[in-house]
Amino acid sequence: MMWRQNCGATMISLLVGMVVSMLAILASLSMFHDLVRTSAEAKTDARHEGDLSLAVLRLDQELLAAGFDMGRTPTDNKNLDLLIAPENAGVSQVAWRFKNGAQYICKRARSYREGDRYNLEITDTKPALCTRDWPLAMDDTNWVAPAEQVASIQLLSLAGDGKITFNRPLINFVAAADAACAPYGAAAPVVAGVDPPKHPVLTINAFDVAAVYKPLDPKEDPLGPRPHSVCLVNITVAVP
Amino acid sequence: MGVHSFRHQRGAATVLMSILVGFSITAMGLALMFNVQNAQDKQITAQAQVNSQSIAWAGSEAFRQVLAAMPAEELDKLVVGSEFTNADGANNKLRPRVVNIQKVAASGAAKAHSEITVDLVAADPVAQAGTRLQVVYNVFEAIGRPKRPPLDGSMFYDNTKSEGDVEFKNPDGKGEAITVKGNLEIMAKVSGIASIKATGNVVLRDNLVKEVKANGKVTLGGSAQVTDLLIGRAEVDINEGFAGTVKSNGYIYYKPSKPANLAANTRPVVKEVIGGSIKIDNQNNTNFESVRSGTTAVLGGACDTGARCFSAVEAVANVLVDLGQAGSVASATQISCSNASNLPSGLAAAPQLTNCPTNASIKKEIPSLKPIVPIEEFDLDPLPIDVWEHEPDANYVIRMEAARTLVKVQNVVSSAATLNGNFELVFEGDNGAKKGYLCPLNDKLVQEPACTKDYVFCSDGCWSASDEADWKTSGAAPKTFFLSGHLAPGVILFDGNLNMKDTKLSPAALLSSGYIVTEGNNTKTLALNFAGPSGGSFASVTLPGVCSNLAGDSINLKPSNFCVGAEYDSTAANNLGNVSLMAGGAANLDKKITTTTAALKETDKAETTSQMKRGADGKVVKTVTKIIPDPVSAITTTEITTSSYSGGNIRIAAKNVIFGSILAGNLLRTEGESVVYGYVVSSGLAKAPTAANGTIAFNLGGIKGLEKNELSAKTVVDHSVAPNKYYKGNILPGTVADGESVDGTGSNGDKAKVVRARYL
Repeated sequence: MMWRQNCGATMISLLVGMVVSMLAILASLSMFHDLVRTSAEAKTDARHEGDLSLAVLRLDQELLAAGFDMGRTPTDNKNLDLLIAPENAGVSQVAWRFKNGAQYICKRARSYREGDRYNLEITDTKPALCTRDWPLAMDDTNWVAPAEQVASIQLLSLAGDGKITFNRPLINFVAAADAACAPYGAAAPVVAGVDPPKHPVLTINAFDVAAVYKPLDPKEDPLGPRPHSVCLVNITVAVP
Repeated sequence: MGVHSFRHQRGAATVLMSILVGFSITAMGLALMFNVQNAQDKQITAQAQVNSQSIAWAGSEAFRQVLAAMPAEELDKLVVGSEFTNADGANNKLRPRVVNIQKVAASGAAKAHSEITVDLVAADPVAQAGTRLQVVYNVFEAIGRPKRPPLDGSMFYDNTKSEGDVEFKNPDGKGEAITVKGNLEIMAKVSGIASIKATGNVVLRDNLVKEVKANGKVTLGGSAQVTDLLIGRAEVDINEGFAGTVKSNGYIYYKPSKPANLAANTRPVVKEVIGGSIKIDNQNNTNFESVRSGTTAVLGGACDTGARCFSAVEAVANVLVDLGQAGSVASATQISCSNASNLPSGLAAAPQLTNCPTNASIKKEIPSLKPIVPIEEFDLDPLPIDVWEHEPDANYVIRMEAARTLVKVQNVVSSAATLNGNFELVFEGDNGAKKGYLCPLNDKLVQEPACTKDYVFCSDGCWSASDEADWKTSGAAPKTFFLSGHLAPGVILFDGNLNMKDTKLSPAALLSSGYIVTEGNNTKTLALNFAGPSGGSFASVTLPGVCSNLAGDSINLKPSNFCVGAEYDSTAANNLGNVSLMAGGAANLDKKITTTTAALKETDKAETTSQMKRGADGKVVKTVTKIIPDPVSAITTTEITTSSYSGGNIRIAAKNVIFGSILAGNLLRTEGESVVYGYVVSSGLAKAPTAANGTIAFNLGGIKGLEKNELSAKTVVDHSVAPNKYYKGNILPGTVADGESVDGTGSNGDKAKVVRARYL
């Protein structure tokens, strides 16, 4: 008799049951919403960081060849086989040249923003253009299109109000002071009285994607760049 | 029945909703983990690459050292495809493999070498990543004679004396470094010296220098000052002079004068006096901050009451001092007080006290003393100046054969032709109108074809030649050339002595196998790099050029190793472009040739090595070993030529000007009002070192009466000027040029050098 009473289904008990269930579901949904958002950002940041690291690694490997087997002397202009263009309208470029066997190869790395995407491309010159004495020039008409896209990144704001852009490109190239350097510090010992050879140093300033978490004016990169120096050992600069 | 199923369905719906939400959250979490894992893998790949790159670069340096240490015969066995592994076997992190070997001949200043291309495959087994780095090495052949760093100052490898006003000028007000192998005497005012280093004794009067280091005795007098450090390893004698710090293994006597630049009412301060035994006769209230003696210390002289002129005194043996002039005094033996009542401002301690007052500040005990480190002796290695070593660099090698003047020419061009080979110099005209033409000779040294007199080598007097008397006993060359006219620009090696009297100005590196003297009041000589490609004007003197604006209207030859197209190579001919005068060599005197033969071995290869060494008798002997393998006769001939060094004296007359550097293989003498715009080196190679009693066993420099280096009144040595192509005037033959190593083989002191690298 008690069991049958307890099994009674009334409208009120049904509604109360539904409300309790809905409250539990609402709590789960709230957590679900945060989790979705966090996972999307983490996934995006991780991908950005990975892309940037690989882009810098690729640039490091490619740029090391600048000046390889070109037969230049230290008194030659160091910019014959390496040209760093000043950053202009959010575009940063570097061009370099080396010899592979009997062939001269000229390459250009270009970092720019297109809409809300930051791109890094590497391309070669048009056929037959790259010779030993061809003056490296950034004019797009000299370079093969479309270029190989090494990285393409879109930055999203933590506030969830869409994409953000900074006034500087994803990666920019800056000439640092010439130095007696070698990759990973692997250079022969210096002898007293003998000036060690100096080489040009190129600094690759890469974005820090964690910058999107800074709730500041998004037009400026609040955290500044992460610099990576490349010692261009194949170009030797005359010791003054 | 329907009521039962409705109840079941109602409970199930709630559970199903919860399960659904749970599933979706789980799915999303898994997706997040998957994406993060992917990104992590990407990062790990990048990091792993960095590890393997680091191994590759470390390997490039390690392999460079392997190549540098590899003997020549093993280098010759290297072939394309040679692989190098170590005992790690399968765990090898680095595998170098030779992919290309190329022999490169010598060219200009660049030495012969092998260019070896190596692919280095580096793997990091933990990171499971690999990198392939291609490195190109230049491997040089070692030379027999070590080189030295670029010159820093004037170097004299024998006794040197300076009298009268001598001035040294350096860029940026930097003082001159004087190096002397032997004794140095500076008797009068010499300005512009920063430091002196001598293996013998040093005497300074009336001069201000920063530092003096000598193995022998240093004597300062007549207000001479050494502002910083004075080391006289054997002994120091300062009588009315001043030195900021004095050190000696022997006896130090110090009577200080007041430094000239000291402000009024300021006490002179001497930081430290450390000697074997010390005697100070103080004056001017000089404050000696620290006095340390290995034996006795006798300290006295005038010192104002309470001035404490000897702040801290230590001696192993007896100390004699007025404690009223002292701060602290310590002796391991005895303190004798010259005043029985005065007390020190600090503590005095010794196991024995004589005539000292009794006071708590004077203790009878053995104090602890700071140890005195003995001063080490140093030696100096002279610059090996031998004109015959530069025969391959010379544009013209001139010698007399009977009445003929024969010239070996290389790297010379005229407007119409390139000249290389043997020529005869044919003269035309007399006295001031004398001209010399180069006429080509065939293998038998006969003029063929007939001379067309197209190539003018000298004009306006050229020279005359005569035999040199007593050349075998004086060390001079058998012939003497009396230069008077203009010469073609280039490196000109005369197999003979040079006498230059009012010689007309021509850009040339003049090399003499004997001695060089200048005479007259108007003689000027001009180094090639000082003139530069087109000459100019300097010190009110019009300088002819090397490639254009040549000296003499009719001279039409120029050196193609210096004048390279439109460019000018100032490092050509082994940096002889910086040299104006060079004298001395080993080829004429005591020449002996020994020839032996042996069966040809597989490892025999043609090579010539030379070495100069001073023997036990003091003579510098040059040994040239030539190995000539002949596969046809299966015999290897070894020819050893020995000869003693001779010549090398250079004497510059009054009012002469030298634009460029002077390298004297033996001794140098400058007379009144000489100016040298360059570096001076004299190597003392043709004479025996002077004995302690002043006797000289032999002196074969070629000029009688010249027994030590002498800089006379009003000599100016000026290397503060830097004409465009002379900007590194201290790079001379025998010193390191840019990109060269100290041992002259490659770069940075090693036989192997990385020239380029890239990732593959």
